[in-house]
Amino acid sequence: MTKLDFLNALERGLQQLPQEERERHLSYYSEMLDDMIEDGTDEEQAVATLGDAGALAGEILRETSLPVLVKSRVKPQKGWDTGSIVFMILCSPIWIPVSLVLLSLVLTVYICIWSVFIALFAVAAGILVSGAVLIAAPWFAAPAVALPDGLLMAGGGLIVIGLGILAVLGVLAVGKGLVRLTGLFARWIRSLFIKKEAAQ
Amino acid sequence: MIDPQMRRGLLDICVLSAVSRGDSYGYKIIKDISPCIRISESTLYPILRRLESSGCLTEYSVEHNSRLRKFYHITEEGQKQIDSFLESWQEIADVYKYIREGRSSDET
Repeated sequence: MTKLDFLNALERGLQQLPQEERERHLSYYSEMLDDMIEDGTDEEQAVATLGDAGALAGEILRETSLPVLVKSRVKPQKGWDTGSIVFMILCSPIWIPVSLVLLSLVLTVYICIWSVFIALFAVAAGILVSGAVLIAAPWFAAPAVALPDGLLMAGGGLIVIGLGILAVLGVLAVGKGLVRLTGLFARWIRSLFIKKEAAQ
Repeated sequence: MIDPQMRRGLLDICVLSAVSRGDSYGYKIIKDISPCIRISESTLYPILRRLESSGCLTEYSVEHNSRLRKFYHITEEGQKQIDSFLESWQEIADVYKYIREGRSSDET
């Protein structure tokens, strides 16, 4: 692949970036290739070192901050002119509520995921508390409860506390899984802003 | 095998050090630090951007063979980063020495 072909392919892959960003990336890689060639590397070899242009573009887009990506998706490529501004204002009864709805959907997903965690934690805590009560109760009811019965209750309480500890450990493991789930969800949202063609 | 997070921090400071020895440009920076730590062309770019936006580097262009070459220059803030890196690693070197001694006395 020639240097020109590589840079053209990279430019195509970086269409989503604002023009200034795109040009900075292109001049960096153009300069890098020129320096490699000047230093004696063959043009094909130099381009091969950089890898596949499409893959590189995808990597660059993935590293670009979300606000920049969203801005360039939403903003017209040629910048704001009067017509676009008027259009955006006229359409605001549409895009403002829609954006709010989408935002609240995302928040709802997060809340659901973490509500599960809180509920499970409450169950585990409840088991522990029950165990503690079973152990303590015989002491408070001492005169009315005979020793064998009291020991039975306390013994049962110890078993329940054991189960409670296992439950807490289980909930913590679930918590770790939920953190990963949240991370995956956030990555998925990001990828929605990166067009498929560029990501290949 | 260096931990990926640690590698990122190390690369930043290596780039700063390379530039502190004399204003430099992308390709030359890679050539200078490659013997010491693995770095690719695509890895260097975000590092340069990050160092520039945090005020550790400034950039300027110079004409070379009828094209523009972008040079980087280290700032005082960049020098401070190198200093604090060297200070913190003295402590790590002491820890390493201690652990090394522990190992060799195991073997006797």
